[in-house]
Amino acid sequence: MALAFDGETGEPAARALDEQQLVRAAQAGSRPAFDELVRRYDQDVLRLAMHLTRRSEDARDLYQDAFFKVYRNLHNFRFECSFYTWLYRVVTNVCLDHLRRRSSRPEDQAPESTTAESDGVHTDFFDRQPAKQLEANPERTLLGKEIGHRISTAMLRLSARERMVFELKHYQGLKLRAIGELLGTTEETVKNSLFRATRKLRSELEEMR
Amino acid sequence: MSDRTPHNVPPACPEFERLLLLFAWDDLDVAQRADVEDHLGRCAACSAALARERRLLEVLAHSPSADPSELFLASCRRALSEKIDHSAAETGWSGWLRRMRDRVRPAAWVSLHPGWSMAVLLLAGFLSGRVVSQRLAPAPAPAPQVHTASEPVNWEITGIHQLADNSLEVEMNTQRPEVMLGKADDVRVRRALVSALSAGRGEDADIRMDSVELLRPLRADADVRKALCLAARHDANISVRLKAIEALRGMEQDEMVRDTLLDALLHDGNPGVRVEAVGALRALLDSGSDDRAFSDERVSRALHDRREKDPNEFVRLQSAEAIRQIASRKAY
Repeated sequence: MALAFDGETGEPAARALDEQQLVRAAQAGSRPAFDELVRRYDQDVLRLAMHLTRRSEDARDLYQDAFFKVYRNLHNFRFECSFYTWLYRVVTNVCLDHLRRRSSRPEDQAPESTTAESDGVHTDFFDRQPAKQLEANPERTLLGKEIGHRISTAMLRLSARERMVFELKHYQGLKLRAIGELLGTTEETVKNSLFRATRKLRSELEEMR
Repeated sequence: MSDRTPHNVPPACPEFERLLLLFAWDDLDVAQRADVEDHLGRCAACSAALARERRLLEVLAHSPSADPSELFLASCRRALSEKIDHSAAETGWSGWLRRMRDRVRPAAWVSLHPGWSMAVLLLAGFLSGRVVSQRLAPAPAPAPQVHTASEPVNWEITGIHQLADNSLEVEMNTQRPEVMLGKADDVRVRRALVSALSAGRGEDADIRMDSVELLRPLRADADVRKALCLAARHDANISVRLKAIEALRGMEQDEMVRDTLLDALLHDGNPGVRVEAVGALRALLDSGSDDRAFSDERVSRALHDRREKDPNEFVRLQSAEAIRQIASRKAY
């Protein structure tokens, strides 16, 4: 499921107003208002963390760190952008820090072995993936697992920023402009990161054939 | 890292290479898109490159789902809540004492002056017994967390019963079993039903079936539609997915619903679900109520794909029929 992004989804004005009131109440110290804000977005945040880390424990830590940071810094929010954008800036920063720390730990970077056998003939990895809907379910499940495993391994080769951009684009469905706004960078930079990420993924998946 | 194209495959034109990727992601403006489409009509190498990009994105969509379960989400919420409570306590009186203790760090002084230390400690103990206890003693023990029916927090629905007056009785396990009473359109009940549906798995698919049924009349609500779409795409139970697609009938103008139908048509392993999905798309085309459905390339692509590849004959026939409908509308 894609993240909602105001301006793209046409969030109703009433909801936005309601949110503004909630944010103001939370800034004034209302815990129920803060909890309501958390409940509005935390499922998407946790999903993002799960996608990026693939580990429940790490995702739980990211979730906690991100929302705790939001709690501590809510008084700094000045309504210069939507609360959603501000929240996701915090969340993506926390996630990027985590990914950068993790990429410096070699124990988390060990490439995992693959089960695919090389037949000595060079064909495109992508062309060898059968149409999944034609598979019987058990085969489809196995195939899905194998491909998923390969993709997870390939993702480890991306830099933290490339991975974040790819995640927000491919799995969360955000537009480049929106990603740039979240990450505090230009659309062109996002485009470059996305392009590099895709090239790397193609290359890595090819090498694992 | 090598940036290579498979052997024997002509590379895309350099000036279009990046645009092709964004074209595949549908993230180009109208002018750029027109340029690419124009070029693709004349350049076989770029057409092949575009097919490769699309294949890559399709394969990447295989990435295993990492959607958090409701229970996991609930445990994260609890942990966050505790952390915030703890931090709030740190800013109070006891927090001040703790911070002062950390600042003074008496260990070194105590080890150098054992006699004086004993006297100071006795005095401090006496004073703290007299003074500090007066201020801290009334601090209540943390009150047990009570979830009322009006604010269920971390629930798991264990049963739904329809009462004579059309009210619902929703049984929940929070930290202890609870029952919520109300109509399906009551905000609290609706949230509970949506939540039950969002779980998407678990032993009791009947509860999710009931939730779909009860939410169906409320599908004009965006949250309800979102929950139904989630169920149609991801529920582990075929009947729930089928029922969810049925419940979305008439809502196909919503892009999220259309995406859901296309996803089910292309990727659901169950032919019954794909039949229901193609049926819903045909109903949308029949109604002619939404021009976008006729011009939406994803709809056309999905239907062409199913016409060629779906193992189920009915789906293939229905897809072909829908393609004819689109073609005749365009010709008209």
